[in-house]
Amino acid sequence: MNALTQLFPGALMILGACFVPLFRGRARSAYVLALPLLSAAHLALFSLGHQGSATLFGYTLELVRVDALSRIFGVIFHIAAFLCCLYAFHVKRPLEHVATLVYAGAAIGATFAGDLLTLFVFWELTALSSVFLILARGLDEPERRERVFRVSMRYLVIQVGSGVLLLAGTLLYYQGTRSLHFGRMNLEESPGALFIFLAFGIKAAFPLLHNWVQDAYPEASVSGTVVLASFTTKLAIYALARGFAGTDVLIPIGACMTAFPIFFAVLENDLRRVLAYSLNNQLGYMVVGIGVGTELAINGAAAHAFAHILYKGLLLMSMGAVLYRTGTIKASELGGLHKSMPLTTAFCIIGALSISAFPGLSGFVTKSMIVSAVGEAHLLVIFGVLLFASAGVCDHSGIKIPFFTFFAHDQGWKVQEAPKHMLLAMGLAAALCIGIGVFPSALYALLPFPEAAAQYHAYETTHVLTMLQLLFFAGLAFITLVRLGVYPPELPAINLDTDYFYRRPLKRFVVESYALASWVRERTWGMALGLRGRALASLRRNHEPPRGRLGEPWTAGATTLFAALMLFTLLLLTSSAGCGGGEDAEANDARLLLDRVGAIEGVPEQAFEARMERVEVLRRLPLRGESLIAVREACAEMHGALLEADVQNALIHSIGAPDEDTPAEELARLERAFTAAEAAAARVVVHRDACVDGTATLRARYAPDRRGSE
Amino acid sequence: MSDAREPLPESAIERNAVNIQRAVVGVCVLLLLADVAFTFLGHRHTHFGFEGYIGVYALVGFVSYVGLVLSAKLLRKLVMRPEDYYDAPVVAAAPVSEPAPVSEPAPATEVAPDTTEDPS
Repeated sequence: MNALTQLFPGALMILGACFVPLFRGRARSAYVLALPLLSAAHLALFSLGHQGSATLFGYTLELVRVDALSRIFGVIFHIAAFLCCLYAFHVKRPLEHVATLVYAGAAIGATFAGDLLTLFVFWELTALSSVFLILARGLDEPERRERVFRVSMRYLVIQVGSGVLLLAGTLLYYQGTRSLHFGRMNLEESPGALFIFLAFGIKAAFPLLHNWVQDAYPEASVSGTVVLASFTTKLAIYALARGFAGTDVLIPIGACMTAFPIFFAVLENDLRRVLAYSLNNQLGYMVVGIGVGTELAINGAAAHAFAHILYKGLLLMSMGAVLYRTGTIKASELGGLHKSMPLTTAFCIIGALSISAFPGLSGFVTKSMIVSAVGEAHLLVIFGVLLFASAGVCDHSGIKIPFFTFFAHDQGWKVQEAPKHMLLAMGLAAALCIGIGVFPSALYALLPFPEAAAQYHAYETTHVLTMLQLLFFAGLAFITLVRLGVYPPELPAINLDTDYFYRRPLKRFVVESYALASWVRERTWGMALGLRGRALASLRRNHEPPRGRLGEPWTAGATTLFAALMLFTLLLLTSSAGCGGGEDAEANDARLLLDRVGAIEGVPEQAFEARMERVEVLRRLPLRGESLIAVREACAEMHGALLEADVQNALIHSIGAPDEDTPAEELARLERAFTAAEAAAARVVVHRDACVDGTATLRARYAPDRRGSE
Repeated sequence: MSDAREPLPESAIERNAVNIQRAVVGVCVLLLLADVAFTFLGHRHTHFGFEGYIGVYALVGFVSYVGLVLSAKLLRKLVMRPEDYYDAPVVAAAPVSEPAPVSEPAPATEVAPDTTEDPS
């Protein structure tokens, strides 16, 4: 049992994925389905508050951190991984199964990563593994190969770019704060925090950084799109909730995300692309919730992500089934499918009602928390935008998706119902959507702030009534517009989005500059090139394959892959070596402790909130060994008291020196502040020796040179 | 895709398309009545002043929806391009002008009311 908790959650899926190609036929299907279940059982072994650490190149890494926030994302990622594997049961090629399992495992690993470096490794692994889900479609449909390859590369550039930003931010952040701990960050605190924020923002599809979602997701295979839509963006939501909860700028960003994509969703013809726009809109609600940052809002964001993965997965599964049976997913070519695919229709409608937040289904009980939190914060404009966006969701996901696929005018499709395993996966997802809607308390108990969630009642009469009014009148508007003939028809066309800028003008710029550069080079360096050519030819003769393997050119992709694999292997090694108990465990704990104490000292004196948070992190740091715990207590007490003294001092300064005019209550405040400051100073003296001596001893023993040399 | 295929026989849903629309209208009326009743008998839990009016959410739903769809139609004029837009080379060997944006579709496709919406 202890041995298993030394592996990070999700590790079983990543390691297990390596053996998928060894199995054949039914055995492979069973094996693939079993891995998420095994991994979920593995996750159940971790208790809340579990922390596993390791030391790598002198940096203290926190490979595993289990708390309520990471747990709820870990749980839903496991459910999603299982549903995705079930849905992809028909896929014969092992490539997609391996990619799905590694991708899901990496997303789970990232969720439980306690430090920024570990997060980075998993962050990149999700990018590298998920791209195969898009590439796989080119194998099935050779005529799409070129297009799929191009979209995969665009996707990879943006995903890896996000990882590079995260790494740069991590290094800058470490330089500023002396800590790799992945906790609440302030954008003002360090330029690193801004880089990290942008890295998260790319994956969370912030406005203008969003287009990779709509570009890449609809181009993946039938099952690949379902998988893609489940993990990357929700991992980014988790990361934002962890690092930037209560960051005000997220509120307008999120509001833009709810409103901006729905216009495109109304126009889009590719129904899986409509869902990708709608995914963006749903992420907006979560980002607003994280920006508001109250307990209710963070609960709402986490709950909405949970429900969203299920209903978005359900909708994409139903669209995937339609694509699987008809070979097209364009609204302009579909219609009337409810006659041949009645069960898929029913499941799609459940998903559509869930995403529209119809009372009784999952979206209602989760989105309402975010909207209520915005209401409690009295953000009228944002509240209005969210209501507008709710009506918009009702249009593109609630009405357009089921209506134009399964009803509208019958295009004469005579196809079979979706395969059984797809129906089963959709049925399970639909049952969960209904289950969460009917028994929200089960989900609420998993939320980051369960006490706050227990006090929240989604089924309050005003709320049910107003939501029903909003939805039914939106439906009435649809009927009116269609009957008046003004509802925009579904047309075989594409719509320009921000990808236009890098797919047309930027591409043209690059192509033309390249042409110009070649022209200049040919005219000026012709002779030099001739010489270089001869030198190269001689090199080639000696080093090119088959004579010299190392002479083969390495592509940037291969290098990235190699680097990521190396890092991942190191991580695996340290996770097994680092948590080995006994001496090693103590050394790791000690380094973790030193790291956290150093982190407090790294914060500027006036950043009271940041200091307070660091002290809290230190106070809650789980450690083994009484001597370490004693040092932790002493240091937490000392730094807490120091902080208190500084806060009181700042207060005294702000009141200023008293004179005859000073009112009595000011004097009383001043007196209280003096007393508190003195008491705090006394506490500093009490704990000072224990902390300073304790850390010095630990430093001498476990980290002899690091801090001294800096 | 479908080249002049015969549609399957009409389903119960298609036969009752008009009844479904009537039902939606009926529910809308009931919801407004419920709102009136609730305003006088129950207690409204609101965050903002505007939420206190009867039927305000109905209005928000209807107006937002119509506004969204109509403005999206305008947006279409700006952003719609043929499906193979990105497949065209950015720079041709002989300079060729950028493919012009497609104009609004032929009006023939514009009016094509769906069978379910047929009032008959």
